[in-house]
Amino acid sequence: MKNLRLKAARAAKDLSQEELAKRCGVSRQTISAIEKGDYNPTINLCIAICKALDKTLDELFWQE
Amino acid sequence: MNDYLWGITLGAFLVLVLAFIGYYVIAKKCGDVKYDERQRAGRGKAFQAGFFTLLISGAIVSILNYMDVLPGSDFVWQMAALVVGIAVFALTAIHFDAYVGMTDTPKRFIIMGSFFTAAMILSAIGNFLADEKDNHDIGFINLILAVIWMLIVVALLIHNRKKTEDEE
Repeated sequence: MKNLRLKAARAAKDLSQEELAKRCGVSRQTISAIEKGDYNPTINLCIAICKALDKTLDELFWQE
Repeated sequence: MNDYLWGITLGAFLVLVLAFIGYYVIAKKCGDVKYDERQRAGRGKAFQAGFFTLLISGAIVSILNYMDVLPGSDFVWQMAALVVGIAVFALTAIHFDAYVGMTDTPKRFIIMGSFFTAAMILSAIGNFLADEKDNHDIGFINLILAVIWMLIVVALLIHNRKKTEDEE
């Protein structure tokens, strides 16, 4: 399932996938894969992404 | 120890020394190769695929050798089984975007792979032109390695193209 909330949060911060990837210490392809729903990140990476985007885990990754 | 064994031993020693020097030169120039968590997972799958392919192809070659149905030298077939396992690892890793590290560029691997392909083809031609049967066996191994390197280069080129199209 696509993670549109992550994409929206990144766009709101005016960050490219490359910039977000650098802040989280992963490759751009990994961020792209998470946004497309092709890869389930570990909790550590989820936290790094949340910190980089000033969001909580619930806001970005919780699914109802 | 005859001349042949001395040659193999010294050759292996020389390769080890060159590999050691090469590793440190590359490590110093490029820094540590880093893979992120997605790539490490992909490499795990690639190692698994390569390992089981190696086991299965090795077993098949051994059985066929035992049945004496394989043409040519046993050594060539054993090497082919080994190389197939390594190739499966490389191609699976490329498929999972886990062959080239985060800080590395595929260009370097493509240039290196093209160089090795050309070197292996030239070496194979040289060995096939020689009169000795042993040289022909080594020529076949050179050809197998050339094909594997070519496959890796083509896979990297295709993967790189897909990656570029996938940009935001």
